[in-house]
Amino acid sequence: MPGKRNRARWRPCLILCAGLLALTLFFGWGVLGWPCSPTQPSGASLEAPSAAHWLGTDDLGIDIYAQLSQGFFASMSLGLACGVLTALIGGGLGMLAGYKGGGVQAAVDFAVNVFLAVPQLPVLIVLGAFWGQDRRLVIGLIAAFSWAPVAKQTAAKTRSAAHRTYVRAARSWGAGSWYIFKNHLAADVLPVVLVGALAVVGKAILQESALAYLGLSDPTAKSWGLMINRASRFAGIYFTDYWKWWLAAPVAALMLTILFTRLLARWLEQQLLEGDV
Amino acid sequence: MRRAALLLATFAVIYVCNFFIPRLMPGDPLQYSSSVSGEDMTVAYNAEQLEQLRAYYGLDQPLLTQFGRTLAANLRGDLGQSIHYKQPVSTVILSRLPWTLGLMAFSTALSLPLAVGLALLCVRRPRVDKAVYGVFSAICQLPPYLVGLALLFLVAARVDWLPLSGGETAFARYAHFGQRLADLALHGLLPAVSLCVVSLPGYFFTARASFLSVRRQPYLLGARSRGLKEGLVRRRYILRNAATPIVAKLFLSIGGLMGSTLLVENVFAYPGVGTVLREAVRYRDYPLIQGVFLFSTVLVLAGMLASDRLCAGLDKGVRHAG
Amino acid sequence: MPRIRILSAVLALVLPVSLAAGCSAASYEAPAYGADSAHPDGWVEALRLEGGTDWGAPNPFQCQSRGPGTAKMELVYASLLEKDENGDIGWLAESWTMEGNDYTFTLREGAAFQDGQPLTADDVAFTIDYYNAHPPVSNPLAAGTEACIVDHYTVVDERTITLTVKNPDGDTLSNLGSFEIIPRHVWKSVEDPYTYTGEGWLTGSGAWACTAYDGPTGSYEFTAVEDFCAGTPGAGRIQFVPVSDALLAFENGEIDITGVPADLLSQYQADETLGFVEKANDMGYKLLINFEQCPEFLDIALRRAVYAALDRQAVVDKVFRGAGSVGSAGYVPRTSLYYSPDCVEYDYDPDAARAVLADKNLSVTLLAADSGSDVSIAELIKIDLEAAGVAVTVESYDSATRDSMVNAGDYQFALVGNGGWGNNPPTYLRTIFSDISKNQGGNPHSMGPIGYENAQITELAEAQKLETDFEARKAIFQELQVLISQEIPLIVIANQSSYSMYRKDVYDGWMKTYAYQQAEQNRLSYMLR
Repeated sequence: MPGKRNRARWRPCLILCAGLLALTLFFGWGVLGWPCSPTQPSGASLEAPSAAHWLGTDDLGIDIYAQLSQGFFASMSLGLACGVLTALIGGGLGMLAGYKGGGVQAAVDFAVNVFLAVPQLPVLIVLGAFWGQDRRLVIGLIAAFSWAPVAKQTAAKTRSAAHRTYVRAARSWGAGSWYIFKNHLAADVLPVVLVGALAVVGKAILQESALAYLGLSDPTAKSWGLMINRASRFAGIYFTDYWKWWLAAPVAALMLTILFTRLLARWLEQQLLEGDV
Repeated sequence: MRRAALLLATFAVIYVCNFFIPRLMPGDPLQYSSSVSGEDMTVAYNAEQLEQLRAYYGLDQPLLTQFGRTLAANLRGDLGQSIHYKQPVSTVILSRLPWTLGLMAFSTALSLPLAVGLALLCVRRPRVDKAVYGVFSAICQLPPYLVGLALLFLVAARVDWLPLSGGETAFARYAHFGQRLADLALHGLLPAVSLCVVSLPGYFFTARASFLSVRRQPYLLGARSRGLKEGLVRRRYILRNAATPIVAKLFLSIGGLMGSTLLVENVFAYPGVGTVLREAVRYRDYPLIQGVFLFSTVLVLAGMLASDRLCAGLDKGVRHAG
Repeated sequence: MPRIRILSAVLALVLPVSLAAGCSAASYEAPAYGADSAHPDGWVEALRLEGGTDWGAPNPFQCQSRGPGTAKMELVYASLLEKDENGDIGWLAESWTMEGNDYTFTLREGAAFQDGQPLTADDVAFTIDYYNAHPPVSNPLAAGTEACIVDHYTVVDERTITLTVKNPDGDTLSNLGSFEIIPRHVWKSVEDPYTYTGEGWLTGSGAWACTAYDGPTGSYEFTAVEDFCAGTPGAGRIQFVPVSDALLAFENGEIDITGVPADLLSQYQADETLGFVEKANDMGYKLLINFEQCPEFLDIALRRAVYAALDRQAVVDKVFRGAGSVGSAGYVPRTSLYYSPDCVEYDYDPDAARAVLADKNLSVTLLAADSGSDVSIAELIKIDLEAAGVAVTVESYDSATRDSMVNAGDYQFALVGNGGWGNNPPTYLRTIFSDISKNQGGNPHSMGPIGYENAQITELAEAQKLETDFEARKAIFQELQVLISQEIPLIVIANQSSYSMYRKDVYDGWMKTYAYQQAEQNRLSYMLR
């Protein structure tokens, strides 16, 4: 079993992690080592890429590489925060519902249903217009719309695990909930939560960028969606070369980051879930 | 029955939130200032006029009274008067609805057959399967607006015959209906393709899983052993038996597709409900925000109900077979 | 169950809907008016402009309250007077006299509505009564409120009506001349004009009949009315065409006039066949200080230091891409007829600013909108003020939220930008700077400084309104500006100009009035003159 096969199994993960690490280093340099400020103009308006400005400057003369770098960490931290929040809410409620059953389960089911049925994007557009400028609220909003599927899956998994004979036996002997969870459920349930939360990381980054694209986010934060919004709204950009660095850079950065996190989540899902059916 | 009650309760919760949230937020539908030269308010209302307008739209009443009135009116089928468009909300939405539904239908007509076809191919050819599966799992989270923007810059701006935005050529005189159809299709092409790219993976995964499970069924072996042609087997048995989950998925994804459509409409300035919603939020047009939500919630819930029904039928069938 | 059939049923259900798209419900088409006689010079068969936004049905009750909305309504309907480059001219009225509180207008011979019914003094009288009961969107009479400027009217004969006003002032004639006349025979039986879409709802009194209107796609078509009493239309039809990219459409000849981004202006100006309309300094950005929350700034030295700290030329260069000018501290833009060159100029002097501000340990929150150039300008202001030693937090909200916060005084510093600075100063200086008239609600761009009073400014701002002599009024305005530039009740950042270009060989009638620079929205732009 181990050996060659195992290495092949791990290879995609290594490649993806290396890719993410490379992105982090590239953008980390942009934040820590790069001389240009992401908020102060450091050149003329709309300079083409050069040695002084690797990715050129925007309309205000602010370096795009520096903005992009700050945006990477802003996006990543937002994504991770949403992921953690989703895992806590979705995983917690899901386990509670699956383990307790009865009234608790009905209540959680109902809440899950409400959040699944709400047309997500329109709601985000409306709420984003009012609360979009506060990052913490954006994180809360996105998490509020991401926990429901995680809770659903976790509840189902917990339910099936809790019905196994040895768990029922443990319960009938009077074992505490925490003991049962730690010894019998955790191994089954936690992977589901983890995979769900990791998928949320990528989705959250995208959702934030979509809101920012519609102009519904903190406009002073150097978010990628906002950069895309501002560039694509620049009058006459079709007729100039500016889009080649001002617009293409954040789009490429966004797509690359999403691709890596997405594939990583997918790999993890395969490893953790598909084996044990 | 229990399921229907659950959906109804869900609807009630959404309805109530939908009424109060916009009204509790800052902003005033009767005030607006534009940052675009030439688009400012050319009219200044004095305090008395503002009061009159508030009274006309019922905004001077306490929130609970407003809620009661709105509820009563909605039950009568009256969605109220849009403050921004100065038309009944139902007129505003109905006149935009064909565009949005048309776009959704157009993109589905592109993505669903493509997904099913690809899935059929992949089930038979493992090598193709590996490639397509990999690509789709990579792109399945691309946001529709990015795809739209990319298409706009990389395709439409370089090609003469593709319009950059809008829904149709204005004031065009058509010799026959076909020409008009071609014009509509041309304008809808890029938005539909962006939506298609986004929804393709979902349909593909469902179709693939469904085909795989059908393929394992014993009756296929029976059919083949009876010497039926492969094409016939595929048409009659695989496609037919695998269709239910795919259609269920179609209904379930109405909500997501709707959201994507609203975004894509904004990218391509496509005349639909999405552009209206954006404006309604910007101008705090409460009745219109509510109307759009009511409509999309009903659509999503109906989709969920339909997919539930289909799945319930499927489960029964499976149990009988087992 | 044959499952394939479900699938095809779904498609069958949805596809026809998509085919029917565009055969829209909210559209209106009336019979076209013929115009085939010999055409004078400068006439064009069809004039096409950028459309694509629904600005409401072009009638006085249902058009939208912003420029493009009211402009379309004004094509269809006519008022007693019109404005040209220099002043008020007759429109439906051929002559008028003023005597104390009485303004007497004589209608042109042959004045008629678009359905052929004659337009008489009774229609004018009816319009005033009807507007009092149902105020229109654009309401220069302030009809339906206590402030309505018309006290009563007297119909003298079929073509003559006397309007008696409560308190005549410098703006009265313009206001009396600019309400749109509606047909009595249509509206007398209409209870709720805000929802009415029946017979005659778009029958106007103007030079253009609305022959097509489609809300969802934002397309409009107006057809010239034959024998319009006040002039000859310059085109057979005016169409507002939804276009993909306005510039691209202009280059392909799909539209005949379009805005030009500043970056591309010089490139197009080389082309001799193109004409340009400059809307000089029409957008303006100002920095409002809420003195109740920041009482330190009541010290004028600090306000001067704020001016010195701001590199306002950078706003013009970077954000406006060079199209515009540093704002005059007297508020009225430098290109205005009313501009006073005696206003105090504040130059960019970061060292002087730092000397005053650095040791004060100030920190402020700057409220800005999240649209347009607002964020970029707010960022530049933040950079400059922080360099001078004032800590700045930019808070930006969508414009509706920003509006209500500004109106409620819920800010420390607020950046407010709006168009219309190139319009008539009489309409804005008083409502921003007079302690009596300011902050009456409405729009944030007519909000003045909170917690600041200045009796001298108030006196001048109120006095100009009563002055009916143009030169005397202008002199008061100039004195007022100088005072504003010395006292600094608010900080004027910069003015932005915008440009429209058109093909001269297609149509060359574009004009700006003395009060409004948007050539595309002025009625006279569409008439042969």
